[in-house]
Amino acid sequence: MLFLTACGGDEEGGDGGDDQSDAGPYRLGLVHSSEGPFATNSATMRAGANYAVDLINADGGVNGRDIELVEVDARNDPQTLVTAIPQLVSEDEIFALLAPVDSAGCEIACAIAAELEVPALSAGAGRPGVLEPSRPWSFTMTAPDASNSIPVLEAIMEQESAGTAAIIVDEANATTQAQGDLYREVFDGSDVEVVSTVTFASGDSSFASQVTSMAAENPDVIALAAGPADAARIAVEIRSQGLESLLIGTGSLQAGGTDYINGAGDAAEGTLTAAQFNPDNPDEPAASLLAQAEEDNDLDAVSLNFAYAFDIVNLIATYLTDSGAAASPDTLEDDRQGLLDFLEDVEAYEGMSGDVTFAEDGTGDRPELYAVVENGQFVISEVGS
Amino acid sequence: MLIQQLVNGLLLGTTFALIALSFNLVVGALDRLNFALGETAMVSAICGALFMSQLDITFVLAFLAALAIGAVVAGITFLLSFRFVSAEYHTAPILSSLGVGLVITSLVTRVVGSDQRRVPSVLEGVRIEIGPLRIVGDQLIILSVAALMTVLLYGFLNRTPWGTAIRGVSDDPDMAGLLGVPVQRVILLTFVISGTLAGASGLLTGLSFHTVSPFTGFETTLTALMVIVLGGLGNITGGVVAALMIGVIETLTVAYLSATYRDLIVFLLVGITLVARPQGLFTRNTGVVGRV
Amino acid sequence: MLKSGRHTLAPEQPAAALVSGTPTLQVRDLRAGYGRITGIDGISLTVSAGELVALLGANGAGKSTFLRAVSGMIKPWSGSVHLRGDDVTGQRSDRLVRAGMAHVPEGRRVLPTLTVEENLRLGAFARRGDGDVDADLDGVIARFEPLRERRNQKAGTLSGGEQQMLAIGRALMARPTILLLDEPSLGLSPRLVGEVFALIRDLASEGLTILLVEQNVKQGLGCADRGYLLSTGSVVMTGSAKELLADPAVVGSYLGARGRDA
Repeated sequence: MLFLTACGGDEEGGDGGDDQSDAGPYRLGLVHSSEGPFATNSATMRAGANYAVDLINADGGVNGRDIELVEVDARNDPQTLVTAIPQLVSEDEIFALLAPVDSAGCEIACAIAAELEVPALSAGAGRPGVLEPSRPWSFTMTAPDASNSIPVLEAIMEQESAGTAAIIVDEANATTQAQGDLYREVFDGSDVEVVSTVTFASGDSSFASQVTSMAAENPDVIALAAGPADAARIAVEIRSQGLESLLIGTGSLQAGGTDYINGAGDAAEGTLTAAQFNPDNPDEPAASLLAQAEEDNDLDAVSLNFAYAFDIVNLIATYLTDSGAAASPDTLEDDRQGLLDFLEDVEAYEGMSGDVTFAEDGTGDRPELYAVVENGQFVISEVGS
Repeated sequence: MLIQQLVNGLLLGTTFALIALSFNLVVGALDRLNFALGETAMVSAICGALFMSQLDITFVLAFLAALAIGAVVAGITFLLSFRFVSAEYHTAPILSSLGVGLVITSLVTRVVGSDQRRVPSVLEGVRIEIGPLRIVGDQLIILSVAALMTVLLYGFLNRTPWGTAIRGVSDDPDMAGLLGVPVQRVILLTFVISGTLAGASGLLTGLSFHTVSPFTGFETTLTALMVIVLGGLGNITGGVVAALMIGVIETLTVAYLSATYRDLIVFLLVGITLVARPQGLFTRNTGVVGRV
Repeated sequence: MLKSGRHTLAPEQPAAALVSGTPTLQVRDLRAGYGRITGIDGISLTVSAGELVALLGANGAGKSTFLRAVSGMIKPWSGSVHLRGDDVTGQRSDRLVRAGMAHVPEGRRVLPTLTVEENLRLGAFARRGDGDVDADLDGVIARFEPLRERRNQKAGTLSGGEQQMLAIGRALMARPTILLLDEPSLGLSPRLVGEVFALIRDLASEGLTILLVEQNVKQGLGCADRGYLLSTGSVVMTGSAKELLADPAVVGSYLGARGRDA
């Protein structure tokens, strides 16, 4: 939380050298999506980024200049990304891009941004390998599902001494397919027998058929490789058919937690997921930032994408403050390179989401947590506690 | 398990049957497709779900509200997209009703947001077990309400003067007019009943899927088109039979093959049927089962 | 040749004027057609209570167009239609049925997927509230005995003759003040044609007012009180059936050699 403490309440304008108030605002691009399976996550990300910008601007901006978010609604359509991002770069002259939260969108958006040599940061995109085509220009705050969820879920399997498991996979989506592979690895590693694997295609189907197939095997554990909304419907169907298996999810299920819990209601109770973000983080400064965000935005709990997006904006602002970068047409190229170097070297930046560090591959380094749904909320604990 | 899957398929089929009935009624009355019926089902279901979860009213009341909303929306669709569109332009109502559908979707997302809404379970904890077969409360409701509505519709069409008038208009609107039937009012009535069925289908589908989303409208329309094309356009009984068939086929495909083949197999089936029997499995006027 | 008939018998002949009171159907100068094609060009016609009037003419003379314009199936371009003194020009068919006009169109047009009984009951749709419908249904079935055993059969499965019975019976179910019949003999065997005309005469003798449209001039005039002869959308001759049958122009152009023989 370097930035806010650095300029909190002080008369920034008086500092002279850094005052560039004639240069107009710093522009950041933001791509969200009002449609598609991750629309809710996307809206949350957008809210977090805007909240960060509002706080910064209310405090006098960066180097005397406001930050402005130039937003594009991709409506879950790759075609929009292909045309909108070059436009953001050439016409709006954005300094950096807040990339889509969904892996599919992020992969495309980051690749386009990388081609134009614009840094892109995502507040989501947990599928392994998403950033590969766009490195070193891209980063994500998220630890990939695999590196984060596998050890956590293996620990859970041991703790629950599970013997048999079923997996339900959304086959129409690369992210959920990767989740399915992840579960197989977990069950392999913890000697749990996979007795049933069923598939669905997200959106329109009733899950009666799939759940009936799984119920026939009466597994101890059912692993949900599904978007949060679909996972919710699956959970309800599982409970309504009287199955009492333990439901588990990866970190991305917890990330989309509100959708899952609102959709599933009582059926979500007891669901266990891996987690990498704790909305009730007791450590400062995260604790007070979270509390403030909850109050200012009237939230029950800050969700992952909100906190991650908030931290992205503040990371960029910190770089701009520290370097005094003008990000003017002449210096844009150098300044963007400067941001890359800054991000590569960030070490334990203290943000709303806890300590932020990026791994070699540009993904976030996150704590291994797990979450359990209790009384309609994800309660986060550390593995082994 | 096969028996259970067959029952699951029939359950899915009953919700398809209601929406197919809804489409076929309009085809019969006007020889036109109302492309806004999927969205009509969606908006009824969303409202029903919201009434149940926000106003805490019972399923029965929410269901009746969904029927009423479906009826009103379909009535408005008739006035906006069909009533004043000249009969010479066959494609005009396709576009105008598609447009109404788009407007409904954007109104719903504008007013209540784009989140999917939970449909609370009905008769929670009720579970009937017959041998290997298990039917839970929601499924019982879906099965009995869909069956009841189908029976009521058949009864209405076959046993009442207005029902006979609907079928008369469907056969020959000019002649029905010469017999003293107020044709435009009968068509409006047909739309209203069709909307009622769409509303029922919407909320029952929501009950079966446990949620409703504002973006399912057009998918519902596509499913209904598959069903009515397979069953023979305008053939009411054919539509019901085709709906149950598609429900069972979809379910068995998902259970024994893969979810990704589901649409493929249904499309193939419909494609093959159309090549072999362009009039559908059951023809409009002289099918195996015949028109009502 | 047809023009020569005009001065033999003037179009507005006194037959209507002889009958006192308001005519059941009075059509003045009616013009109508399809698109830009004129079907009828200024037809005036009167049918008084209890009369059986025949509207005659060759195929395409505008007979059906006239009936359609009168019974609300198409909107007339100009002119007026009065039913028992009330202006009903351009009214919708179902309103006209309520006002007492029943139209049995060409080709019978039974509703094929409805049963015989449903067809008949639909004929009484406008008066479905009153309790006499069942009695009338029995009455019609008693008159058209062959329909009795086909009562629950789909109308589309009936023979041509049966369909014609059903079409007329169905029109009677509305208890009309005036019955418009369009080519009831079309497509029927000679024996059935005879039966249909006998039926029309019966109905007329029971006091029903009938406007009969026929291509078969001899048959039409044979049972009518008066007749109007139509050619290319206009009335070319009118008079009592007897006068018309005796008119050499009519005999020449419509009845042909067989007419002269008769």
